[in-house]
Amino acid sequence: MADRDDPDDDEGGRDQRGEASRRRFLKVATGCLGGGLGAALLIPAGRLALGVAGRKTVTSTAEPIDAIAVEQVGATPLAVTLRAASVRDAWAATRDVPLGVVYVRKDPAGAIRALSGVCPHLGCTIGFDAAAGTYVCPCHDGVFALEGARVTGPAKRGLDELPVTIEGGRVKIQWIRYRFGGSDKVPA
Amino acid sequence: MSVGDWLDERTGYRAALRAAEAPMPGGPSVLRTLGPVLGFLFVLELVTGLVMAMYYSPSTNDAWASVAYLEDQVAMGAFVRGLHRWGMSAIVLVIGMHLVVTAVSGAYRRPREVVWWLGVLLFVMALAFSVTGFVLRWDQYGYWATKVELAYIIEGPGPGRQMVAALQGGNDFGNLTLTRFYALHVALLPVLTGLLVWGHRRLSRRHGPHAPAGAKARGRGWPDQTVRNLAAMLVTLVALFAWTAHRGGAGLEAPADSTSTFDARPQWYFRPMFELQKYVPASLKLAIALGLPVVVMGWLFGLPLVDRKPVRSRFMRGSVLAVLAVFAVVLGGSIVASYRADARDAGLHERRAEAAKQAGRARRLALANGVPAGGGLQVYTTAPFYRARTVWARECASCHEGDDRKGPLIGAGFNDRAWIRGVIADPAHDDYFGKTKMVKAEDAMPKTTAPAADIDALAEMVYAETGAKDADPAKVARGQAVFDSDDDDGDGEDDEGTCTACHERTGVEGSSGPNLAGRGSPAYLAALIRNPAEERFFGVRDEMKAFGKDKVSDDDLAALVEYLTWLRTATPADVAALDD
Repeated sequence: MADRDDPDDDEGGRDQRGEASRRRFLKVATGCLGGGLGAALLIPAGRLALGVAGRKTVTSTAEPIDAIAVEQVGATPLAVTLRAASVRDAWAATRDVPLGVVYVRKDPAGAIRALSGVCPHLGCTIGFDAAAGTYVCPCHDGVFALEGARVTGPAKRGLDELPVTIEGGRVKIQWIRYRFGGSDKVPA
Repeated sequence: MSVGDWLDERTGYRAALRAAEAPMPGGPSVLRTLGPVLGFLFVLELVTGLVMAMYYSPSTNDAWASVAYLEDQVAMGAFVRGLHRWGMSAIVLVIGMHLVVTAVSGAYRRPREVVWWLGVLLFVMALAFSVTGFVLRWDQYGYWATKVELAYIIEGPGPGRQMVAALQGGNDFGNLTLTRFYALHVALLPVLTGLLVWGHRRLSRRHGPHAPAGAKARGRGWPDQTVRNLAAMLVTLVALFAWTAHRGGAGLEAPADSTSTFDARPQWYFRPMFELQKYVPASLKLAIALGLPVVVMGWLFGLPLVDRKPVRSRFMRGSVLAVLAVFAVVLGGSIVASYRADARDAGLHERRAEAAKQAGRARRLALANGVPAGGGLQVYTTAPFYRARTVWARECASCHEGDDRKGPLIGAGFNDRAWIRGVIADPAHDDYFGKTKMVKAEDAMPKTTAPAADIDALAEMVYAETGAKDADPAKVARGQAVFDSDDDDGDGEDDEGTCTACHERTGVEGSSGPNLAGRGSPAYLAALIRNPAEERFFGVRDEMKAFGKDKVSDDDLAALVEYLTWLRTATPADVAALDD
């Protein structure tokens, strides 16, 4: 005879064994139900949370952007802010958005060249030191020569050159963001 | 020492498990699953709310756009948002059931009064979640429903206006309303609710399951009641999934527009406040709207204070049942009556269909073009020819559209071959110049009697003047020959009223009829709109107003001319699609 207070106090060992297996079944069922409920809730939520991770959520027009008149470009680099006519940023469509700074100059052969102002080390915006004739990154003291080659500092490559086209006396530059950090120039 | 021992020494979990395995007075029961189901629904709201917060932006410029983005452009977005909205409805429903079961069984009685009160406060929290959450979508529905709710508070007794000013953050609905309601909805209310749930559970454990005196203890909390709880949660979740799928999510109307009208109806659980007003005189409407929740909540709070005898009397039990029955009839009945009244209202159906069309249009535009930085309403400006159509509606439509117009009909196919041919063949036709005064003049242009092939050639010649690239040069040359000849009907004799008598087809010289050089080209249209009374256009016969820069700016004019040029190749379906 089991204890009087025991809820499973039915007589006999056989019933007790049956009760034990019933409770084992209930515990397993509880685990399955709980797991199922958790999954049913967390799978949609997780998919939603990560839903935009693999998407290009911020985009602008890929065409070259009008930067400056050809005759304004000299041997000394000029900092020009490239502005996108429109940018799609998730739900928003915004007009005339600054994308980044480029340094435009004429090389000794007379060709117009453009260097991205994004430091290839960690992506800070670099400045130009007119006295020294070098580009300087303020974040970690990276120094780059006039044509973009790395002089000193932590960057693993020189400044990234951007494609330039001349159209009707205007310099047009295609804005590309490259991955920073590595020694290879790979579009981000 | 095993990991279990280590953990038990620090948490005492084994004792808690043993306690959960203790026999339950009254035994496991389906009715006891309602509390756990509510806990589960609150977790569901928390999880779905958290992931939605990753997409939401509480500003008047972004709110609608970010919800539309979640709804239409993110996988599972519409479904999760639907679960969040309808989960709220499920919470209200299950709280109602939980309250009824507790009230009928008398489980609110000593010593469980505080458990009951915390439960009633959780009911209030749920309703507060509903009110603060609904405005966040910043669509017509959320905007107007919340505005009306706040208007009741303003009209109500006490410092209603000041309360609303504090709640909405100043004198009007705007950015601060969204940031405040958002802060309440995602920070303050969840924390308060968490505390209340913690207290409610802790105290109800302290007192143990409620059961009638003398009820036999049988079954166990774990696993007998637990498995019932989980099964009930599963049933709830399946029902919620099915309902959400059936409703296609939470829905999203057009962006909030403070200048428009919208038939905002309250959530079903607030419907009695809306519906019962219809049955009372105007002076009592506010009392109904504000008094009803006070009566219901007051009764719930006061119940344990009234029912205090050591043994529950049959009278008390009976009166609780009677009050619940009255609530069921009045609240339930008014909800049903309200939905039935809406179902019978044909005007409402029409306005809702119109609103749905507007919502579809706004969401399609948002999907295709994004929402401009100026906010949800700006999405309409991204529609094709938006600027031109606005100018058209403001300045042009009254004379060039509809039966009351005074000028030629301008629509799809304007200045295409068929249109030009029609004008040449029968200028006084109703679709062309039939509504003008000039066709009634004695020297008005007559019907052209030339052979069909000649009219075709003339039409091709005029068509080429529009700048259309597909004009047939041979036909144009033939048209010019017919135009220049004085024998238009080809009978070998000179005719009266030949083309050249009234029209030039080169230069900018005026004559009695319009000069046809460049007719219908963008430059011609722009110049004509600016001054139609110019000699080369209608001259002294002109009936059309001049549209100077004060009426149509240069940019507007350029947009309008682009639109008119587009009409030449557009079909009626293309034009109708602009309004979809």
